[in-house]
Amino acid sequence: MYRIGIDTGGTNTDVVLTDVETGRIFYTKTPTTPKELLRGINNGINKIVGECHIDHQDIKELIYGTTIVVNMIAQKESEATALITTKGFKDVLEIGRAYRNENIYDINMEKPEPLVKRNLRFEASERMNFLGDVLQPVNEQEVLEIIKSLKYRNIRAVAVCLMHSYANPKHEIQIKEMIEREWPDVYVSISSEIIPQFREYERTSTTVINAYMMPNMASHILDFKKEMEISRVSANCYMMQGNAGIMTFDAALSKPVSVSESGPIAGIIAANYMSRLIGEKNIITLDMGGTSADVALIQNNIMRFTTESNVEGYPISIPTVDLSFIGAGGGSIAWCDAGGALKVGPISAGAEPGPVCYGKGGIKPTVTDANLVTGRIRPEIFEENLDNAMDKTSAAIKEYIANPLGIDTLKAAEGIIDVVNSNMIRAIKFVSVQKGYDPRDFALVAFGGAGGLHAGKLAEDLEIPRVIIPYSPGTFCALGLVLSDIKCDRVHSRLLTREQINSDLLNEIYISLDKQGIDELDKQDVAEDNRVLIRTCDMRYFGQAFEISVPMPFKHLDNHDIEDMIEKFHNLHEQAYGHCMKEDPIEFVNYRVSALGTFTKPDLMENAKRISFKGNKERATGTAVFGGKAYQVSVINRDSLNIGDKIIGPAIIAEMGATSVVYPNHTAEIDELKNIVMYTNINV
Amino acid sequence: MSNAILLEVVNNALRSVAEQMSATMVRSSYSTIVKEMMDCSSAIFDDQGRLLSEGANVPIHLNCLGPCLNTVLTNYFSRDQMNPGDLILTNHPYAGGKSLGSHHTKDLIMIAPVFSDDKKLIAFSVTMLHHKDVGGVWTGDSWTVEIWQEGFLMEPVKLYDRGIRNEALWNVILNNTRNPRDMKGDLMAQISACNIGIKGFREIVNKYGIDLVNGVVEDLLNYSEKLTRNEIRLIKDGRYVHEEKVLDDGFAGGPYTLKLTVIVEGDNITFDYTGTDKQIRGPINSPLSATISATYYTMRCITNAHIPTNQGCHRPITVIAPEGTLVNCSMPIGCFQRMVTDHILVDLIMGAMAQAIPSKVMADSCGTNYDFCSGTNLETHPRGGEINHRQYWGEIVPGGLGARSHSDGVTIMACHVTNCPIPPLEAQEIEAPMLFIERSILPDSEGAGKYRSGFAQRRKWKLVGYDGIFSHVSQKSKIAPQGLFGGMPGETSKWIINEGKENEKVLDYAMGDVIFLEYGDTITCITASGGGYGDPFERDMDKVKEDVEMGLVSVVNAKQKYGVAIDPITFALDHKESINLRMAER
Repeated sequence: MYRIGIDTGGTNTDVVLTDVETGRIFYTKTPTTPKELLRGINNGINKIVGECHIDHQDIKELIYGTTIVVNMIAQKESEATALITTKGFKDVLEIGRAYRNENIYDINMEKPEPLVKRNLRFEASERMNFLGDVLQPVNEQEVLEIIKSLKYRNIRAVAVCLMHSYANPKHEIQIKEMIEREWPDVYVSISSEIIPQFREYERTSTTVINAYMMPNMASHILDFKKEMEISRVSANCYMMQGNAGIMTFDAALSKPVSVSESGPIAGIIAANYMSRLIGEKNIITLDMGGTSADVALIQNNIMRFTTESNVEGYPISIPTVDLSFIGAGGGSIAWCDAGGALKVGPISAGAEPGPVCYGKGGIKPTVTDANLVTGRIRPEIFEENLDNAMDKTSAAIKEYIANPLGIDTLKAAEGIIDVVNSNMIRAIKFVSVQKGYDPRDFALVAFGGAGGLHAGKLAEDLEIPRVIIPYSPGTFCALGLVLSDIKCDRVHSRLLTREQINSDLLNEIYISLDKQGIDELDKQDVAEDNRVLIRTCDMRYFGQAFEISVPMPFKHLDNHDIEDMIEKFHNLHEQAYGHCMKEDPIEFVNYRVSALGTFTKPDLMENAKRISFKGNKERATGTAVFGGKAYQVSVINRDSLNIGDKIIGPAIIAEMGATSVVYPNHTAEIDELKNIVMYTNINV
Repeated sequence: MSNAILLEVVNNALRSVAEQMSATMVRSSYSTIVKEMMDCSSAIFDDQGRLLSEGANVPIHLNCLGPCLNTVLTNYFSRDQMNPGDLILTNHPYAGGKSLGSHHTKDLIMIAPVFSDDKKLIAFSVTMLHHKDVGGVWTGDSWTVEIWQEGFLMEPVKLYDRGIRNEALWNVILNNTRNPRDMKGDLMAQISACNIGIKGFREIVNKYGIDLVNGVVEDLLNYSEKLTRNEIRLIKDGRYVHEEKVLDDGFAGGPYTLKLTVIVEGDNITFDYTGTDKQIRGPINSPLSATISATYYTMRCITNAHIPTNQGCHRPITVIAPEGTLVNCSMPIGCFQRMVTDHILVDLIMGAMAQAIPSKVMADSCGTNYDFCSGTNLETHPRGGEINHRQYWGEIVPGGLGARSHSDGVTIMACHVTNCPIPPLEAQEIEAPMLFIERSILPDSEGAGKYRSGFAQRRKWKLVGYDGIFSHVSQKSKIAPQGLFGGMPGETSKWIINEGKENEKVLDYAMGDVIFLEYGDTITCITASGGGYGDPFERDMDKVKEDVEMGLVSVVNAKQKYGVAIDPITFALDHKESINLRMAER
């Protein structure tokens, strides 16, 4: 049985095919075709099917990772969406939280333009209070008028978000049913189905994004299915979500917002899966590509989630993997400012024109160029003939960086790397130190085209003992797709103090959430044996505004369990903020269940054992500069490395689409999964 | 590493520490104004008391910690009187005899000296947090005259001495607040944040060595200074004078005048507030530290927002503010509502500099606007267990911002020196016995211009509890926010109790003493908007049309204010008629 993962990035579409029974894994890449995504996807499928000599019909499961939602929102590429709110609040979407969160001194700042314009926002007379009591019933006549006027306006989707609908969804359901009855052709999304959780702006924003994406997602999925039919692929199709799980295409139709933050997720899934296999419980992942880097922290092989993410500045409050993003990648451009400081990014040379060394017309020096000049990227790995690459690149660094700063070119090149590293260290600290975790207790798992170039130095600076670079780091995200499970999240929002809560109430809430999760798994055809339910509860001290997620046992709960959770909460609070207040009252806020439908995974160990690399063992040597000093380095072809091989730094390991650097004083070893494991050899 | 590179690397590390300090306070605090509105700040200073990095959201707090630290070092504890494990606490606006302490009594400033492994004082980790209640006449923002009416006063004192807490002091503090549990939680958050600063700075020093860090710090300050001087050099030399009014509605003997002369000479700039009226018997007087903060803030807005903030930015700037005036008040006058004055300082500076750098300033904005209320309802809101069962709510109500030289002003946005997010309506209703009726954009409230201002806000709520104690603060209720270069003034602010009911009452003044409310009373707040920029008759006609389509500008106003004719039914733009309108005599 074959499972295929397709990850469409900005430049390349990565494809991974796995034979689930034997554990064999195949990788390939084709160029992304931005104008007609499906053509690139089809090319990728055809290519890998050809390379593996299988039939299209042998593919039984297809998992699709896509940035289509982000792209469409960024380019405002959707048809008109309307919004219905409680009377008095149609402007909440535009007002937002109304503060400057980027640069407080920047008087030229703008708010993101609302996805639903003011003339498409409507108000319905109705009101709930926070307890879910009806203060004013829905004025149906008024709603009918709204629906009638919407019909004339070329609307494709309607979002409905009413005050306190998380406490009682009755009115939202009532309006949804009216719309469906009066106008069956329009897409409807109500907030109590998307994210029944308090904080109206974030809930409205999430629901609006969902409605906004529904028509496009529907046509995209329809096209996708048609295309697959033509290619005679009859697989069950799934899509990656921001919550680190996948869902069927049918589920994606009604909840496209889940897909919005999914871009960097598959790589984190792969990193976590792989780490579990080799016994690394605590990892920080670093995915560094051409234009950006994503960092996430995983403790005890459990990912951390946030409900405060955003897409293109629009808040999303469904759970997504907690990660920190910086606009620093291989293509980031280095520059000197008027005060004489060296800056890197956020402008990127992108794929076109790209770094100077690619010879495609780039003139400003980038991080990749600095890595080339310092000898860390080897010119011989470029596919094109780049005779002049080194000269041209050095000249660019000299002109734009070294001369203005009055330093030599090599120093300037190393400086570019140091500065981009300091940006990444801030991102790593953001997910670790700032959340109460000490990076020294973690291993750094680095991938993406540029991850392996920087990881060793970052680890050394953060006193992280080990760095792990997986095989084929450039296609690692696609691997994550075939290692994923189905996941759906359900939440109930109800604020209860310790006095107000008891085990009966808690059981009632969780049993209802469990059932919702199971119903969803039923819909997605998950077999009974493959179902896992995970419960958590968001708690805080009474009076606080931010919650901490506390794990809940999956069992019939008694008072002892409640006391247990409270104890856990105190500990987590202390870890996160440095203090806890045991005598203070505690508040239970959100109750969550994640329902998983697990898949059989390919055996990565078997796969690694099976393939004995026969690449050219011969090690070239070259010169590379570290800390202002020139070193003789061996340049190793990754395909020549086998389990157990040891490397003493400094050394450069090159493979298709990626380079890894073993820094001076570091050592490395090839583990049983054919990962490069680097040791920073820091004495702490 | 060369210095240019180390500069960026160490700057990133310092920023990371200060950001972490602030994040800890926001996420673990109890006070609404901190947890939902981020009213707290943190900073790292070197052993000389020079600002190295800051983590803050509210501009008025930036730079306020520096003067206070200096006051502590000069008047209370010298460096050799500090030990590892000490935590110094103060909230006294007049500590040291001048108004160079805390901005007001609710802002508790906590200072932790940072020591190296060999017990040398190397830095200060400092936090400020706006506490919910420090005693005083009322919890909210009432009309006060003397500083003692504004809560307990604490000159700089060691809350912790060599790691041991002063229990007597701790109890005195908690005895003097209406919300001891909240205060305790918020002090704990502040202590944690100070400790994070200590740990973070020590890590940087251990990594690079103190000598190297000191060298980089010097470079970092010089770097920011150089960038700031570059910007000042671009401003034409000269003297630029401007005036603005506070208490424009005549309250408490107003209006009063704020006067500024900006003197630009080469790469130095002086802000001279001489000519400003004397301090008044009321709480709107600005301590010197707050005046300095507002000045530094505006300076960044009109030059370069991206210069790293540290002491170097301040070196080219001189602030002259005569003692005993509205911009440098003296003991024992009240200063609780110094924001009323500080907001106007921003407009004052922008107005003066409009003559020199017209493309870099913006027109007047809505200024300060907030309300605060408490009430009880044991049936719906029994939770909390505070002593008097009162629940508190309030908001810094954002209005419209002034237009800019190349773009419209922002609609409903935290104004200049306050930058507090608004709390969720649902969260407020969960926490307190009140019900929102409206939060919306107020159409036709903009200051017209080639670029118009942002629109004002209409916000209305109802008390669904008992014993309401309500206070309100706003400004620009008579003199509207002014436009620039032909731009029109915007909307004025207004408060209405029981709007539309028989007992409707429009409040006489934009601020005043507390008002007692009954169950069911409603409060309507209309904020000010901002001024326009440039002649409205030069505004792009399609933009006027779009505002009409969005229901933001009426067809009548499109014609009257902008000279644009739009069909009231189809919203079609009549170009010919519009050109005629614009050509006609005005």
